[in-house]
Amino acid sequence: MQVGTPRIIGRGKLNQWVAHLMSRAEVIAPTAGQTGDVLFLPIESPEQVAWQFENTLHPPKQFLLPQTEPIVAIRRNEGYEVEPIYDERKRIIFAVRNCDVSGIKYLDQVQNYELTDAYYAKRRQNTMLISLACNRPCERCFCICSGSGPFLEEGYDLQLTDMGGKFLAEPGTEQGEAVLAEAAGLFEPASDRDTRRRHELEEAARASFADYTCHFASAMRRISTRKVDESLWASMGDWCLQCGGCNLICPTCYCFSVKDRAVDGVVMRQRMWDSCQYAAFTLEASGHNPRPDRKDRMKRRFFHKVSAQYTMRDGMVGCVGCGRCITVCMGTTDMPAIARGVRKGVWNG
Amino acid sequence: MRTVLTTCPFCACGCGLYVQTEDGRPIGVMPSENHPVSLGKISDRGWHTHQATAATERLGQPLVRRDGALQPASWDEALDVAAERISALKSTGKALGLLGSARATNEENFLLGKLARAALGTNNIDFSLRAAHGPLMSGLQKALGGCPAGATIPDIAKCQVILLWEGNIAYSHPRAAVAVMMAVKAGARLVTAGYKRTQMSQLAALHIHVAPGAEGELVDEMLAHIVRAGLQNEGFARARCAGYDALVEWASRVQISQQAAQAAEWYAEAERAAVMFGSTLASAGGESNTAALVSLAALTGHLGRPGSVLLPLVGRSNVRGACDMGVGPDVLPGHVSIADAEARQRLEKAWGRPISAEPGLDAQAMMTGARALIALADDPATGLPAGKAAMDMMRQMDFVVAIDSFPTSVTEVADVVLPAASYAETDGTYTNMEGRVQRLRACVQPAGEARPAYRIVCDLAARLGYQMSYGSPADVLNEIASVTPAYSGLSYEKIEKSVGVLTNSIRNGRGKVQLQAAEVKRVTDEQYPLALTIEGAFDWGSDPLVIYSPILARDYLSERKLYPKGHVEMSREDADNVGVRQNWPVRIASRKGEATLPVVIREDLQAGTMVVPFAFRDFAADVFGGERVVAVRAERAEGG
Amino acid sequence: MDNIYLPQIATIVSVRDETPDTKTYALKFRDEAQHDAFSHKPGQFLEVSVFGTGEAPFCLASSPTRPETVEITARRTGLLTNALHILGDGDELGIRGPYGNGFSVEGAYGRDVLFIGGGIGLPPLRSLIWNMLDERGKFGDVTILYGARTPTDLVYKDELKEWEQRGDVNFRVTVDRAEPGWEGNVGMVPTLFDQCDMKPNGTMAYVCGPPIMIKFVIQDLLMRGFKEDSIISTLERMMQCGVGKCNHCAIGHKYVCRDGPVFTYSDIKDLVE
Repeated sequence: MQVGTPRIIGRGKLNQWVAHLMSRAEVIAPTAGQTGDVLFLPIESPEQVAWQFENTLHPPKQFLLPQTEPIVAIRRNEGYEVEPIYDERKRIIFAVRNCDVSGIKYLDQVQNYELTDAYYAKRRQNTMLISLACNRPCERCFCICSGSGPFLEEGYDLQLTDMGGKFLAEPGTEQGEAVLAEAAGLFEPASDRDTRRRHELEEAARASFADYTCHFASAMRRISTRKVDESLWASMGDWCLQCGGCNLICPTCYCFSVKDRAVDGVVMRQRMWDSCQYAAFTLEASGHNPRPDRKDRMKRRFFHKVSAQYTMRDGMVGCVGCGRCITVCMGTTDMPAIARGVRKGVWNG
Repeated sequence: MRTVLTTCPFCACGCGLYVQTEDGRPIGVMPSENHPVSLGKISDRGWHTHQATAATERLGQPLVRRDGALQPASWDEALDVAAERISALKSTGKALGLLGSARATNEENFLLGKLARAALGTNNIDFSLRAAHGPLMSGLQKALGGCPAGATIPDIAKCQVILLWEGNIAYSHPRAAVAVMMAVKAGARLVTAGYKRTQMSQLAALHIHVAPGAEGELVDEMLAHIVRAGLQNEGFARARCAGYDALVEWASRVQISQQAAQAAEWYAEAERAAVMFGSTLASAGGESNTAALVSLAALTGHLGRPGSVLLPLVGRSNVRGACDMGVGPDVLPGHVSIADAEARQRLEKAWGRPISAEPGLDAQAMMTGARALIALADDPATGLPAGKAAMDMMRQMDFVVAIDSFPTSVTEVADVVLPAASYAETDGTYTNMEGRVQRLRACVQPAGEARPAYRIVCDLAARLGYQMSYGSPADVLNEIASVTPAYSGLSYEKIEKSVGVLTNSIRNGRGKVQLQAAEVKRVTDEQYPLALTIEGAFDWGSDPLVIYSPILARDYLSERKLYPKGHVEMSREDADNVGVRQNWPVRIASRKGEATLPVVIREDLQAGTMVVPFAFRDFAADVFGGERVVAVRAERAEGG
Repeated sequence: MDNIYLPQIATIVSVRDETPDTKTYALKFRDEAQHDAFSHKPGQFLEVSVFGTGEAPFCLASSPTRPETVEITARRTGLLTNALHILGDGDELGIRGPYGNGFSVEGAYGRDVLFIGGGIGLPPLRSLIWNMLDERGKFGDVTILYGARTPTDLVYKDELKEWEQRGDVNFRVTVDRAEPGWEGNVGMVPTLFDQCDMKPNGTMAYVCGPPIMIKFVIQDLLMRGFKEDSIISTLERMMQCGVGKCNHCAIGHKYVCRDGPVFTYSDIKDLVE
């Protein structure tokens, strides 16, 4: 869905534009870290943006749902006083990949489903997404399998396409359009040739997905109708090391726990990331645990991510094909591997 | 948000991870994708590294015990009291003891050693986990003259055969378990050996059941088969090893099982093979077991071959570093024996004080033999086989100083508590089980008035009349490099350039590899037919880094809640013979004593073996009598 | 924007010891307007904060027909309940809720009603029992069967006597193990079934108690001819948020905190992990 018209900005003007964005909000962009890692972090100067990157291992979801988040401050005066802790800082997540944009769209859905999570909502409404479409998929990704990329029609405020000497910017929201209008001097309207080129790049990108594919439909069918053998989940469970990395790194995972901790004389109620792969995730005070074995938890993860029941509820499948779980998994139980195992009914590690 | 690249403080894999902070507070962790060990992966413990350091329970205030209770004090006051009492006790000839730690940095451990040997003139220095892992290191020392380096965890993933001697690396060394899984997925043959079928056994091509205490037997059978089947590299054996002929003679008399023969063959024939061994091997005859494994590697040509791996699975982040820093009653920095006159002299010259050649008290002996104790981030009650009894022993002492970031059993009984900066608040280095020296980096300011532990040790030393001062931990590493051959040339700059530096503590030109067989000890007999063992050498659930992390504590402490009186594990067959069902009480008796515990029946145990989880060893202390493996008999107790 | 995680402050009006390890707390919102605006259905639960320790779910034990105070009954089992048991009159707690689906009172209009409670399972039933007794005319026969391990473990001891004495309620109580002075039934709750005149056809049966008791009782009821969607129970799961976001209480795509905690037996059968 296009709002306004696409524009072009010359590569040489990018830093100027980023500087302008920095005057309007905290700009979070890919930056070069130690050991060759690329990390999404708030930048202090436009030069810090690392333009050549595939995708970061860290998911940008952490800027909307931090790993540890204070939500209520509890103070004792004469009686108890409770105060919500909101984060309404203006942010721009810049050069975010479209799989992550889709992930954020998923989080928008679940955080608003039936009841609205005000903390997420406030962060979200103050966060702009300027995505950078992928001209070339990275080794581990499979976004086309769930329609989460490499180019999107909506979900972003602006979508950038790297066309070599220049970048195309497509506004997806009024906010995106406004940002372009503000920096009018740096942008020109895109020509028909530019738009054609952008579509060529998209076609080329879509055509070049290689090894990793994930045929969600048939896996979903089996998972949703509970036709996956318990012994298959058990075999898969043997190859899982219960690190929880898959959930913590996943753009669409959002499970959490809530604990009170004293911080500087105030009792701070904090929300923190949690993982359904941890044994005690469902452990009750009585000592009973409805998911005592790895196979039970493995089954749970994939039901939540890839079942028809959840997909209908949330409007999209719980996987954006970013491939992070492939890198982060300590075992071999990443999404494509499990989907393949479920479809074929066979698991060899 | 800011991120700082640091090393995980939990197990000895030493993964690289980023601690994230917001407004000066730690809020999260992310793995480092390109770090040579982690390669983007970290365990559940690593993922919650940021939690414990932010705990409310952090020690942030110096404390001095007055009228029976610990009261807040100033730094000067607390240090003065500590130094005065220690001096006084020393001058009356009372024995002092010092405990370093497997979770302290190399710099902290090294300086504690200097405090002990130079400032206080004692060799009574140790750390609680050394007993469980020390035999592995000293076995390597005996056979090779040091710890081999060069082999890394990612190398394991490319091996074609893996011999794995360890309880459960999915739990104890997850990143190493990943490498094993990768290898198996690529077609490698995994051989697991142990008394329990673990998660790794499920993936093994061959699982060899080994009763507790009988590990040496299996190693010997494999060694003998290599020789008898002509699988050895005889040229290497004769040229580079000592004791070859004696070994051949011995091998002719050994009875070899089919499984041992198979495992040995696979190992010998592989181009790249790994041997990984942990505390299970160290529970009975660890030193000789390790030396025998080295012999196995040497005879088959795997020792030192690029791609092949010989890896001691030590338990915690800095066990290897603590050993390397001389935190032991009979070792000097570099894991050199205290009997080595040249090494002593080198240190005496550097430190300006005489060093005794007489081995000191180890951690266990210190509990009863020392009148005063200085413990740096160590906790005897959670590390020593003595368990909670260690607390009573410490209470009997005249004076206890605890230097730590978290409340432990030591801070509970201490006379002076000196709050230390935590793993997230201090710079330093850890040495992982590969021998890789890596940086711990400060991510946030120390809590309250806590100070870096290396500074605390220096302040204490100064008040005891021995000046030592350093501008930063980097300076300490420079000194370590100058007196420790294995760490020579090491510096923070060098580490910065390559993330971490692999150390090689085998001294150059050491000479021949000492070939030897393992001592074989039969634990059980007719009267006491079952082998009872303590499982593991370390209990994460009692570690402050887990206890003070809300997510980790929940997972790791759930066992304790279910079994407030502990439990003992038994195979179904043995349980049926004794006539007990799940949770019924069982009386176990050894020659040393007896205990009654609820039983947990396990399908992954074979008849003849009973297991007490490390966390519950206290409940069976009388039965074990200080050992890790004992022969017992079991019978049903009343009240089932 | 409403904040679903922000607790409201409530004051403990009174505490009553039910058993050596169980207490009932009568609460009132500190802000009168909040108290007046509060309403709930029996079977719903509250997320109660013991400030400084944490938050945990507790079923509402009081009936909406008696809104002077809001009651919870808590057994001392873990960190939070231990901290709760130290508190007394005038102390403050946090409350979020009411959450969950609750029992459908209207669904039982005109029907015979059977309550079967075990031990600490009585509190959620109590909220429904008093609701029905306060509107007695709308229901048919009311039978209450309750059991605990020992007489000491019976909760709401005074109210049990009230129910026994009422002419419009058929009340029976039993204990697994008697104590000196106990003259009533001894035996597990199902032993009471043959003492009453159960009419499986059309009776709504509400069962709450330890999981193993629920399992046997439901089996028994089914054998006697009770319909699957007339047997109603509550499920318990580990909870954190109570509002369907944290995923701890999910069973399949159902959430005990949103789609439950009240479920019919036919619902329970359909719940798959």
